Amino acid sequence: MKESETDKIVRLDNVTKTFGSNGHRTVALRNASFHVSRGELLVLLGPSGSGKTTLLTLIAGLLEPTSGKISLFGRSIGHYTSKELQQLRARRIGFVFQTFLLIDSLTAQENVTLVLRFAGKARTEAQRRAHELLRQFQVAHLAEKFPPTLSQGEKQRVAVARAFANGPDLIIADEPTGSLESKQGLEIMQLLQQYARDLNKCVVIATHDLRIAELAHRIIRMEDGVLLQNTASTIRPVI
Amino acid sequence: MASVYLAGFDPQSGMGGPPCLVKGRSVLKNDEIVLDDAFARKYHFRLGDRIRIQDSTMKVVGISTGTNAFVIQYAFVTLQCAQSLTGMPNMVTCYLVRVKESRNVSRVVEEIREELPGVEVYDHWTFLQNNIREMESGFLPFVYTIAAIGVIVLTAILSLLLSVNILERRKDFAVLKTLGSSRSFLSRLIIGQSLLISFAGSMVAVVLFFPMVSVIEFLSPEISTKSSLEQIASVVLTVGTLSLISSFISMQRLRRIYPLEAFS
Repeated sequence: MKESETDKIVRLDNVTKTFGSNGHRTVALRNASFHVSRGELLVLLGPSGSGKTTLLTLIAGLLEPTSGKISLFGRSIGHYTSKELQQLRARRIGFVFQTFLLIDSLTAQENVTLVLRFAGKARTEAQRRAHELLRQFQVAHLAEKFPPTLSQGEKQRVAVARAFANGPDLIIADEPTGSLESKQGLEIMQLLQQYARDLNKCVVIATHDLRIAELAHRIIRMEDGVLLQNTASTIRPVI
Repeated sequence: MASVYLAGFDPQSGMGGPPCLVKGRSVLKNDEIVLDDAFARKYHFRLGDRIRIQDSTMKVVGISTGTNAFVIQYAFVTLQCAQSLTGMPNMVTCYLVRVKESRNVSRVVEEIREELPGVEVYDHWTFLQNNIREMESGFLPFVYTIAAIGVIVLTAILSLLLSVNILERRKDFAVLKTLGSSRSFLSRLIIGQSLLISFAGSMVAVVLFFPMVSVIEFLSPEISTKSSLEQIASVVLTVGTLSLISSFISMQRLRRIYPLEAFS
């Protein structure tokens, strides 16, 4: 079946991003063009400094491209107001970070509740949903614990629960397994893969770990801000 | 050695004498004196003590209140004693005139002015207003200046505290922005924190206020304090307002935190 335009969550056309002024100009991303559709898990694979994170932040609307066009959910990012972009991030985009970035002064459950509140859920509904998510990710017993008391694996499970909380159409993950042991990393990748496949959502991951990349539907290799190769991956079954 | 303002009065009429005695009695003889309560406490004078003024020795027979004007305190002796101490036997600086109830005060004032041209005559209310005005022009600007400095310092300290807190939690704020928190949510967070700090500070101040006042009055009896619930409430309200101003100042730091920082 042919892929329709509405299936394309993210689309980049000749996107270039440069930093600095004329004297010290750095090209972080050069003429990037690709799209990501529903049900797809895309991995941006490349060494540190290859422009992966810049690309993720461009997709999330946190940075404006120097040239080219980025479309998010079928609409050019330039046409969104800052308020609309903020609401988009609250309701339709989930984030997973390498160092989890949970709020240390909030409990695990409050961390998840927070994003549900950002999306406009009522307090009690948000608390109920947050607890349900923590149970789903097998960390319900840690609901009242504060992040500094959790292990790395537990933190990342809470962070993934936070990213999934509003059922976003797009999940952006920056080195989500970078701080985890290989077994824990694989588990997180499987959760992300399931999310994209079973719920027909879209996941974009930046990583330098080739083993992780093997679970992707598609891999884009990057180096020095240039997209080198855009290949479909052999999808491994979820264990 | 201590300084006190001596007021000489006629013990027969009692006019111009101590307005309110808390201990002892008023003066009857030329070697007796009534001291202000704050002055007596400051210099540890008691009834029956003898104090030396120039070459005369006076016996403390009474302690009065309402005679402490913060920087000066009054003591009361007979008019004859005051004249003797100043070395001016016929000197009288003011007369207090008690007007019969049937007479109109303004008319009496006019009559005295007509009879004694060049003499300043004031009715009770004008005399009181003149004193209040003098107090306001001399003492209150000093108090207001200290209060204004306090307001500025409190606002600066609170703004600094909040700004440091924002900078310490810079990453958290960047993450919250990335996750889609609205500007109003972050503003409410800062305002809430600021109000919490000021409320906690106000509560500590209220708890410490009365013991501190007792200590101050013990150490400096001439400083007398009076405070009402309305005054305490207005101070707490002012602190609340200052905390709001501080939170708005520190919010400028928040604007310079970019969601992008969550990825660094």
